[in-house]
Order: sequence, then structure tokens, then C-alpha cells
Amino acid sequence: MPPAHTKRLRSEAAVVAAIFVVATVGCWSYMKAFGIVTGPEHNVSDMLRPAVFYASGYGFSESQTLPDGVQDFLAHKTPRLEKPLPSGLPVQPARGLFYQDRFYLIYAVGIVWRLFGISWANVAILSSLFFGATAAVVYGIFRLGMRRPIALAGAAAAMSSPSMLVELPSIRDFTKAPFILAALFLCGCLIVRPVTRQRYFATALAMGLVIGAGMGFRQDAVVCLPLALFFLLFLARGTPPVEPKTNPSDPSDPTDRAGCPPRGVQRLPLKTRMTGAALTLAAFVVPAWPALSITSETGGNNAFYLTQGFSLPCLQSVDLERASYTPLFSNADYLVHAFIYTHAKTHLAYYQSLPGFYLALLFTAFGEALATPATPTLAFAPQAALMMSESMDIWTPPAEKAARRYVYEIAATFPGDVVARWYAATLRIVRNLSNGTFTGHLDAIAKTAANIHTPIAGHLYRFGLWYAAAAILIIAGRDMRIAFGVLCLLIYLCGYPSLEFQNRHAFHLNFASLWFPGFVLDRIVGAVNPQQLRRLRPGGMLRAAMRAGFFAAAAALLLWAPLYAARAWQERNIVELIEQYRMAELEPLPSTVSPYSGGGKIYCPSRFPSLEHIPPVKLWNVLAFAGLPVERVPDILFEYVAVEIESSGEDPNVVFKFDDPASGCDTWELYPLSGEPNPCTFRLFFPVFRFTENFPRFHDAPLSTLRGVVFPDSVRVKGFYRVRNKEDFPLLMNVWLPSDLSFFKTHQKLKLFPHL
Amino acid sequence: MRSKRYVRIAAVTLVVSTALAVFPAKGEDEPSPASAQDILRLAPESAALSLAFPPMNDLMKKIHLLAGLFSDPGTEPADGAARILMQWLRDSGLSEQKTLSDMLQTYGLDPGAPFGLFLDPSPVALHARKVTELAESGTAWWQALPAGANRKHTNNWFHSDFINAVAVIGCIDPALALSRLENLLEIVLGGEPLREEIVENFTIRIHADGMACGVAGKLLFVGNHVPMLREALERISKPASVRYGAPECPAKAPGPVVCATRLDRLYNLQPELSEYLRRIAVAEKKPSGLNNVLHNPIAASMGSDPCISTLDVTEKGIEFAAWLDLSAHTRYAAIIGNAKPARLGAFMPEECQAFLCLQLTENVRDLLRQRWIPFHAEDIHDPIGFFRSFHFLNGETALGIVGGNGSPRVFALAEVSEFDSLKAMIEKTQSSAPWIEDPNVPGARFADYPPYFFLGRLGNVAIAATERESCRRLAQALASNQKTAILEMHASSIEPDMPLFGLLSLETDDLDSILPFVAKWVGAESPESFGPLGSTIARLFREIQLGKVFQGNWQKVFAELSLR
Repeated sequence: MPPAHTKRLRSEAAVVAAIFVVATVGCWSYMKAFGIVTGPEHNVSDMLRPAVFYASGYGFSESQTLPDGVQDFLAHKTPRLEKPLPSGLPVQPARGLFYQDRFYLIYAVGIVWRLFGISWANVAILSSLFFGATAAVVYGIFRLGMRRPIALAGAAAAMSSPSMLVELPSIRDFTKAPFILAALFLCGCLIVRPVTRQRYFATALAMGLVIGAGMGFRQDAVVCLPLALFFLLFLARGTPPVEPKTNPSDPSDPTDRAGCPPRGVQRLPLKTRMTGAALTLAAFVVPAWPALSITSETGGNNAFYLTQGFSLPCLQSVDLERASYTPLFSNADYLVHAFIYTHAKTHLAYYQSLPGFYLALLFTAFGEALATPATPTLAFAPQAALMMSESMDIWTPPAEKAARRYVYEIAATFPGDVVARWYAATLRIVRNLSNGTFTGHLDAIAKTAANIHTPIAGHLYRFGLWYAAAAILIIAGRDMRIAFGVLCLLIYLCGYPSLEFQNRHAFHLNFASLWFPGFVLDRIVGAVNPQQLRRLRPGGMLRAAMRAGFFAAAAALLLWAPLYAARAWQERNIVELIEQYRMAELEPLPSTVSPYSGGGKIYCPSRFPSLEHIPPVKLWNVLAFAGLPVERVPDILFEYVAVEIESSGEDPNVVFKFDDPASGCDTWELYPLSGEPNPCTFRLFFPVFRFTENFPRFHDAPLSTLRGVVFPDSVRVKGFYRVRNKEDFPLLMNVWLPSDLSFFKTHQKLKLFPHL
Repeated sequence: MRSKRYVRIAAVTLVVSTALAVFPAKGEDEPSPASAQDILRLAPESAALSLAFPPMNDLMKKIHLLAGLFSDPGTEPADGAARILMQWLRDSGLSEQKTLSDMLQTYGLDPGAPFGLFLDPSPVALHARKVTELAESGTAWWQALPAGANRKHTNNWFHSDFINAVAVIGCIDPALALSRLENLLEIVLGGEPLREEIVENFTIRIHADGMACGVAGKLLFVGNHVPMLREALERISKPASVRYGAPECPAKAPGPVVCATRLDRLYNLQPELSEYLRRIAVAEKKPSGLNNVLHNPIAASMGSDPCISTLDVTEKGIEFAAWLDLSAHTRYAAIIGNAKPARLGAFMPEECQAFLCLQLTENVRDLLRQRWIPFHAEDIHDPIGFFRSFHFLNGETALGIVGGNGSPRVFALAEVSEFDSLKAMIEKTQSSAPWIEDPNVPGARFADYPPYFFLGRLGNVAIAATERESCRRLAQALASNQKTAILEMHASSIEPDMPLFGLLSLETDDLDSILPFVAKWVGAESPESFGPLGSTIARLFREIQLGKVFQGNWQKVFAELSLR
């Protein structure tokens, strides 16, 4: 007869397998029935080129020119690739950032297409498999803290939430979920109970492999690596060594518990822990190598994504109370690039024009060639001039490097907001993501799910934080180490999406909002059990309460200290910032006004002088390339504009309208009043960009220029200005400067007690 | 969008940098140079490059010739460019004239006189160093500038932080020229001149951002760096010594563009420039290996005597030449070693249309090994083999090619140090062939590698040809010292006993077959694509000659392209 814990494991395995099968089949049926397919909005078209070639027997490759039909298929103009790829196409190995950092995802799609045919509908098979895997892991995480029925209910609720369902067709985002959650599950396994050395090493190995493989689907998985190492090194506990049986024939020998691991908790030896961490790292590197190698070459565009995280839409999503400034008013790719480019060109030494440099370089080459014509400097100088091309394309290593500096500049200016944003993301997740912000376009099933989830989400929005606090304190009452581990998991994993908070980056963590209530429920159910009640002792309860109290105080301090230290630092910067904006050199701009179809009026400055001063682009570039000390025409011109407004009644708001609505640049910005006099006067600063022909993607990117700004009727526009000393404003933020500066909101605030 | 401001600035750029031409006839008591030598005598001490241009009218003719050469038949890009220029000038209200010459005259300038431009790029190097240091400390370079200077730097294209420049131009009416120039400067820089200064009894007027101008006799001086302008004015009474016009470096009339280059000064720029480039390469994650060539430059060994170079475009052809007096550059002379007159080259068949003669002395091989081969390693089909072949070649190498019919004939003679190693290397890719003797060529031995080539050996000379008989004939000529007239035919300007390091001569008639053959031989990708290039060159030029020779103590590097 198998030992009890083996039976438990088998039974759990059966449940997990059943969940996987049911979730996979259910998901596939759902996607099939409602025609949910990966579409152009999911941005995988170019990425999946090698998958088409792989499915056609060419290996992981691509070709310069795509055969007939492939481009239409990849552009979602046709649902399937009607004609198979002809044989003998000239192909080359697919290399590059967007291939290698999603290496396994592309492979996985390629395999599915190879087996089932190249069609968008068949991508649902992959989505379903990952949905099934996610469901199984989510169940496992629930099971770490609660009994099976509650865990099943919790997993079902998590998997059916609208925030999860809307991400299903987005394979680029969805496929990371099971890996991150599996890493979380393994971390949980390490702390909930002590582990034998074999299990410790097996867990370490599994963590490395899971995170490494996950990184090949999407880089986000790498955030789990520090967490895994931290848990392995500091939080995992081992069991005491197995004692030899004193009397083999005696079944009542205390050392023989039917094959169960020995009881008790013991700190693992340092050597073991170091070996475990090394094992994780080694196991991580192997599967992650394709993504790692390209990331080390290019930076993986991470700074670009981090920059987007400071945009208004992301800050709105994370449910922070806004400050008087917003670093970027839009997260549209090309607008974000415009911010990065402008910052680099006006404030980073590397990217400054150095007129005359080409000429000096050519002189030196010329001088050496006069003496020795075979000098390599003759070839070197043009190469160097090319290398110093002043254009900076989006998503290139120079742009990534510039983005790093830009992100650093924002983070260094607003460190308090960085911390607050992190906590806000955690709060946002434990309060449930499906509370109305993330609705998306829902089909019938998702609508039904939304209807079911709306009251749950509403409840969790009010009480989610308190459920989490209660659960952690209950755990702390029993074991502070485990409570600390849970707190780390919560703060770290739910906080990291703050880097660019969007549903697609956080949906997989939404289960956390259900886990804590589930845990509390489980304890309540357990507590009402008569047997359990009998076991309660006042002394033990008091000790537990003291532990919980101590833990609460320590945790509060741990969370409070960095936030307030960072805010104190930020306040110093803000004083200078306000003064800088107050003293901005303004020059009036004429403007036009006309009614806006959506309500209010649209105001357009008649001209932006800085966007007009463009010399003949090609001529200037030729002159610059020839070495003449002229400045090249920049890729992007900018004007920093201020508009003075007087708002009465409702909270002032503005819509930034762009030429092309499809570019995704239009942004609505609300400025909630908090005690300002009514009417109140503001000076709103915002940047305006214009791409020139010099920008490498001028002709094929969705570039859009600001058409105007829309204010509601309650806002009276007093006048537009351009900032003459715009170079003195490195971040080009949107700033609402109140006439009474004491109302300037110097930092973003957490909504600990949201208005309901 | 062309704003008026840019049009004006563009016009000013062109007027200041090119239209500063023009000199009157030489007066008796006024400085008014009439030749390139006269211009070069005004070169400031700090100038690294001193350029003397022919009169604007002649210069325009040369530009016309050059532009016509490289443009499609029927198009006249020079005329088009002139029209655009004049249109700009009219748009900006600077001139109502229809031709550049007329416009210059209305500005008081003389389109019939030579003019000069003196350049000192050393501020670029200083600036590059400052940028590098600031970048290392995480500071932007503009942060080190005085308050408000950032905008000035952003908007002002004439500031002298990058290239110091002084131009000198002859005038018909100096007062008018000065007045019009100052008017232009005031438009661009804004405001009146800040102050005046007397230098050598001449008044210079200093504008914003270091721009300054003044007249001396019938010369107009304008520059963006006052100290350099002072130096130029001081040259009126203390002229600089000029090597252009020396017997070894003869002056030509009508004049070419002449450039006196201080190689030592240019070398001084290299550490900063290369460090800046290195940082850029790191910043952009681009390979910086090529940057290494700057760390051990030839120019490091240069003395202060300027190198004279000339560029001339006539209806006969394009001629470029650079002269260097080695007696003033002794360290450089020691590095490159001694050259010898062509010996083996003189045995090449006269019908060769491409003729190459190289002296691969120990010094030259060192230079190639240290600088050229590593730099081009990625471009060479077999860098190791290439490197080893240089190891075997020791002395003179001559190559001749007869093109035509798609299968050129090749002849080669080379002084070789290790025959057996060379043969072994060949036989890595070719089947083994024994040395055989030929009774018609006593003392010579041959190894045949049909159908590709035939190898011979006579003393320390390797003989190779694409035909067996040619190989034998070459060996025979060499054994009996029967020279051909190839050198006289291909390099008539080079005396037979003139030492040379290299000479390349091309008759371009069959270049469309020669180039693909050579490209194939050096392992270039798609060698057939070189055929059209050969045809294009052949359409433009009748003959091309490149070389590096020695005349007494002078080294001459030249390139001559004869037009059809």
C-alpha cells in the first residue's frame, strides 16, 4: 500500500491533469465557437515569419522577400496560408531581437502550424494549451494555502476573469503566464514546508528551467530569477537528516513514518544553498541562451518599455492619485521614441552633434593618405562617418542606450513615484484587475464572465487589501518566515508590472486578489471545525497574535521607509522643477479655435516656429556628411508649448488630438482638483513633436502630429505660448502649473482608501 | 520647408566659404596676391590645412568639367546647382544678379583672382575630448558651457568651437566688400560688431561668436577665430615659406587647387578623435576594431614641413599629386625605407593593359602586416593565405594583364624568399606538379598547374602566367635580360632609374573583362558585377595611373586619370 503522502500526490496529480485537460479543451472550444483568433492588434505578424518557414520545412529561417500569400497571411488579410511555400527558396537563419527573445514562442507556433496547418485559427490550439497549463499552475498555487474545494473555486474564478480571457488571443503576452506562475508556485513550495535535499535541488533545477524556458517566450519571466535565488538562499528550510532506524522490525519506531520525510525544520547548510542557487542559474542559462544572447547585444528594448511605464495611460491604469506632472502623456511607440530621441539629442553627450568632427576626421585620413596612399584610414573615415549617423531609429541599440538614460533621468527625478507606483501595482492586483478598468471588447462568454465577476471585483476593490493583510497576519501568527515569503512574493511579483502597468502585463497575477480571501475563508472553515476548536489554547493564540502584531509593525516599517525616503528626495527635485517652470521663457503663439464634435472646443496654435525651421533635409545631410560643419537636420523637431487656462466647475481635462486617430496617440488627460480655488488658473505645459524626413521610418511608420488640444466648455483658454528655453527642460513633461503654487501636487499618491 | 532664415544662412555659408573669391590685378604697394604661392604665403601658423584655390571663374570651369564627367549625358548638374544657388540668393534678398560672377562683383569681390582658405581643426579634437570626459562623468557637454550658451551653440553654425577658419579673398572694391560682408554677418549673428582691433596697421572688426573680418589693401580677410585671423594678417609683413613651386614640386599655371597640409598637426588630433570614436562605437555597440588603425598612425612620424598636394581638372584629365620632402621628415623616411627602380616590371609584355609594379620591401611588408591586413581582414577571402603570401614575397612584384575576349591573360614576376613553401602553399589547392627543366631556358625550372596557371623559377624570381608559353617566354626574357618598352609606354613621366614603391597603370579599353577577372581572383562576391563598373570607367577615362615614386629627396604620390 503506498504511503499516505504518495497517495495525496497521486490524487493531486490526477486533479491537476483533469484541470489541464478541462481548461485546455474548454478554452479551445470557447475560442473556436466564438472565432477568437490572434489578430493584427496583437502585434505578432512580423514576429511569426520564421514560424511560417519552420512549418513549411525550412527550419528557423526567413527570406528577404516573402513568397506570394505569406505577407497577406501575416498581415491577417487571409485567415490561412492557402498555398504552401515552394521548395528551394533562398532563406537565411532568422536572427534579430524580435525573433530571438521569443525564440520558443515562435518555435511553438511553428510546430502547431506544422502539425495542424498554417492558419490563425490554429494559434488557438497553442493558446488553449497555455491556458490549460496556467489553470493547472494556478490551482497548484491555491492549493498551497487552502483545501481542495476552495482552491478549485479560486482557480476557476481566476481563470474565468475577464482580465484573463481578453488576453487569450494575445499569445505574445499570454504564453509567459504559466512560466511566471510556475516559478511562483515553486517558490511557494520552498517555504510552506521544509524540503529534503533531493527535493530542494529538484526545485532549484526546475526553477531555473522554468524561468529560462519562459524567457524564450517572453522576457518578463526573468523577473522571477532574483526571486527564486532569494527564496533558495534565504527562505527555504530543510528537514532534519533521516535517522537510521533503531529497530527495523519495530513498526512503531518513531523514525519510520511510512516513508514520509522526517519532521522538523532546519536551516539548510550554506553549501547546499549555494549549490542550489548555482544549479538554478545554470539551469536557467541553458534554455534562456537564445534570448539572453540577443538581450545582451541589444538590451532587449527594455528601457523603451520602462519608459512607456511612465506614460499617462500606464499611470492611470495603476490607479494612482496623479501629481501635477506626467512624464509622458502617451505610450504610443513613436511618441515615446520622440521623447527619448529629443532627450538624447539635447542632453546626452553621445548624441550631440559635433559639427566639424567629420571634417577633422576626413582631414586626418587625407593627411595620412598623402604620405601612404594604402592607409586604411581612407576606408576608415567614411565608415566612421557612417557609424556616427545622427539618425536614431526606434528599437535600435543607440535608441535603447538613450532610453536607459531617459528612464534613469525620470527615476532619479521622481524616486518617490517609482516606489509609489510599485506599491500601487500591488494594490491594483490584490484589488482585482477586473473591476472595470480592463473591459476590452468582450464576447458573450467574456461578458457573462464580466457580469459574474463585477460584484466580486467590486467587493475586492474595497476589501482586497484587507484580505491580503489578514491572510498575511494569520500566516505570521503561525510562522513569520512564511509570512515574510508571502509578502515578498506579493510585493515583488505584483509590484513588477508597475514598470509598465497594463492588463497584458498583469493579468496572470490577478489570481492573487482571490487567493487571499480564499486563504482567509479556508482558515475560517478550519477554525469552525470542532476538532480544531478544541485544539486552540489561549497561550498559543496570544503568542500567535504577538507574532502577527510584531510582523505587522515590521512590515509596515519595511514598506513605509523606502517610500518616504524616496519622496523626501523627490521633494528636493520638485522645488527646482517648479521654479524652472515658473521662470520658463514664454513667447505668445496665435491660435485658432473651433467647436469639437465630441464636445468642447479644439484649439490649435497657428504655428509652431521650432517645427518650421527645417533647411532642405537632403542638402543639409549631404553637406554634413561631406564634413562641413553644419548641423544635420534632426529626426524629430520639437516645440514645448504652454497653454494658460482657467477652469471653473468640473475638474479640468484636455484631449490631445492627433492628425491620424489610428496612430493611437490621442490621449485624454484629467486633472482632478483637490481644494484649489474655483475658478482656478493653470498653465499646462506639453511637448509637440514633428518627425522629419531624416527619421529612418518616416515613410512607413504611423507618425502623427498634434492637431490640437480639446478643452471642455468649462475651461477658458487664455492663450498659447512656446517655451523659448525648451532645452532647459530635459523631460518635456506635461505639467499643470497652478497659479497658486501651493496647490502643486508634488508626488503621486497611493489610494489606500479609495473612494467607492 | 524653406524658411527665409535658412535660406539666408545657406546663402551666407556659400558666400563666405566659396564666394570669398576674387582678386584685382596686383597693385604695386598693396597686398594683392595673384598666384597660389601668394595665397599660401598668408597661411597662419596655426593652420593645419592651407588651401589655395584658382580664381572663381576657373574654379567654376573645373567644377563644370567634373560635374559633367559624372553626370548622365544631357544633364548639366553644375548649371542646375548654380541656378539653385542664385535662386536662394534672390529668395533671401541678397542678390538680384543672375550669375555668380556678377553677384560677386556686386559684393565688391573679384571673380578673376585666386583665393585661400586656412583651416585649423584642433578645436574639434579638444571638443571631442571634452565630450568624452563629460560623457564618462555622465554629464552632457552643454552643461559645462556658460549659461545661455547652449542655445547659441544649437543655433549658430559659424561658431569657432569646432573648426577655426580664415578665408582670404581679393576685392575689386574693398570698402564695398567689407560693408556687404558685415551686413551679412549682422543678419546671421545679429547686432553690430562688438569691437575693433588694429593688427599690423589693419583694422579688424570683431562680431559675435568670434567672427571677424577686415581688409588689407585689396584683400578681404574673414574668419571665425580672431587669433588665427591676426596670424594671417601678420603674414603680410612676414610671409610663410612656401614649398609649392620648388623644382621637385613645380607650380602649374593655370593653377590647380593647392593644399599645404601640416601632417604633424593632423596627427595631434588623432588621440582625441579616436577616443571619441571608440566611445561612439561602444555607445552604439558597433565594432571599433577599425579604430585601432589610428593608434599607430604613419603621421606620427611626420615633421613640420607641410605636404603639398594639388588637384587639377582640365579637359585632358584629372590630376592629383602630393609631394613630401623626406629630408624634412626623417623619421617617416626611416619607417618606409628605401625604394628601388622597377626591374622586373620592365620585362612585362608590352601588350599588357593593366600593369602593376610593387616594391615589397621589409618596411613596406611591416606596414602592410601591421596596419592594412588587420584592418581589411574581414574583406579578404583568405586572410591567412594572403598574409603568408606577403611573407614569401620579398622585393619587387610585377603583374601584367591583357584583357579581352572574356579571358584575360596574366603575367607575374616576383622576388620570392621561400620557393618551396610557396609551392607547398599552392599545392594545398592544386594537384602536385614536379619541377621540370626547359632546355630553351637554362637555369630555370617550371611547374605546371593547368588550366589555371604555370609557374616558373629563375634564381629568386618566381614567374607565373596563365599560358605555358607565356611563362616560358617571360623566363627567357628574364634570363637574357631582354626588357620591353612597357615602362615607357605606361609611365612615360617616370624615368627608368626612378625609385618607386608602387605603380599601377590601366588602359581602360578592356577593363570590363579585367575587373571581373581580378575580382574573381581575389574572391569577391559576384565578380561579374564588376564588368559594368569597368565599362563605366572605360567610358570616362582612357588611362589611369597611380603611383608613389621618389624624385631626389621628395616623395611623390600621384593619380592621373586621362579623359577620353
